[in-house]
Amino acid sequence: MTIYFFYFFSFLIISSSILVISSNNAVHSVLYLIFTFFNSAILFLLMNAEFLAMTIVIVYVGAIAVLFLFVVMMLNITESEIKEGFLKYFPFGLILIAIFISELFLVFNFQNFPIPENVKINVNEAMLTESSNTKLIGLFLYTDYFIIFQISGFILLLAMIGAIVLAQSDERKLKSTSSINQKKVRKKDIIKLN
Amino acid sequence: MEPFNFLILSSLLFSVGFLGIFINRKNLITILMSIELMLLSANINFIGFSDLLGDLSGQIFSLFILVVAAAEAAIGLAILTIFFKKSNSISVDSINRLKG
Amino acid sequence: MNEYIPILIFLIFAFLLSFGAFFFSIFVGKKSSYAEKNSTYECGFEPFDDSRGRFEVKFYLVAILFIIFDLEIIFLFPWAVAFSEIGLFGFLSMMFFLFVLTIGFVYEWMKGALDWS
Repeated sequence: MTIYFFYFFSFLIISSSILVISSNNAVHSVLYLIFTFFNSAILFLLMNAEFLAMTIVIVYVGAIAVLFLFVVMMLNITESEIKEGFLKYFPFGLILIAIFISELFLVFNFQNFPIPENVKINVNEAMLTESSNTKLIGLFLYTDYFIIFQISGFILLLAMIGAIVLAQSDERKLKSTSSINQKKVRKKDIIKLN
Repeated sequence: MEPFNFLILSSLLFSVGFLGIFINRKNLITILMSIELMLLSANINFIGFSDLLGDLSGQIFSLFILVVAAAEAAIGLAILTIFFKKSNSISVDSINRLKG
Repeated sequence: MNEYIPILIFLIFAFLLSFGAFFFSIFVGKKSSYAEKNSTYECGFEPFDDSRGRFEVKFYLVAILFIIFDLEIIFLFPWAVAFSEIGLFGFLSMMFFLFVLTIGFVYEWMKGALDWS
């Protein structure tokens, strides 16, 4: 039963991701991107990663897709010029993809795939005492994996500061008088009109 | 082969994102979206192996990838906005000012 | 996995209901349209320009900062659930994380990214 759900949602993911890259209208692209993320959230539910599924819905659909939509609306691009050079680059990309996929199929020998005996955090063992995926992540993320946690904190700091430095314009557009600057005016700077 | 279905799915998704970078030379926003698709395929790989091996580490790394994707989207779109303000276009071909 | 069956049923019903309301009104509703009724009308004038006008970069900054703090909240959830079992180290780890993000918050406050003058 689960495997049919997997096939169905995989099909939806692939087809909507193809629509993302081939759509002429950027707004439609963003909407298909949202659909892709939503379906992959359902896929994560099928793979027993409940917290990640909810996180994907909140972060990707709720924040990143909205940010993309903001930028698409903000830039206001005309649609006609977008698909130039499609035929020029498409065959080359297809060749590279063929190489990539054939490499993957050569590397992954599916028949005798090495499955390691001892894993780092055994979910099946831990699930005997805990019942919630969120709590299980919490038990290990802040102690065993705290370096990843702190690095992600610094990455978020970097993104915040970088975005402010890039996107904020210092120039003031409104014409206004500043009372502090008025007080600072010295006598020799004043032009006297007779 | 059945437990490795997610590998095929994620490699296909990665290829679609890869192709999206190639065919959208005039539209930087779609290129950023293709990068998001590629990061999503990496996420699917991590979660699939986490499910297959019964190991929680994959989910924690996947959370880390989520953070990286959010930071990448924020900074990339900020650069895109600045670039559009300067040159009034979002085509890849017009980004040649770094040549000096 | 079985506990998600109600959500699936809910999704199916929501899908059917919204699509039903949408398409039912298209096919069943009575339509009498003519050129004047379909034309754009904006306070008696023809619209001056495209409705997809540009808007300010400030909104975009707020959206970015929303993403950052959204992820911060995401990291707070498992911490809150597992708080009683991760001990002092987990507590200090989260406090350092919050401290790093507070530096960014103070920076953006000082830069005036949150001002709407």
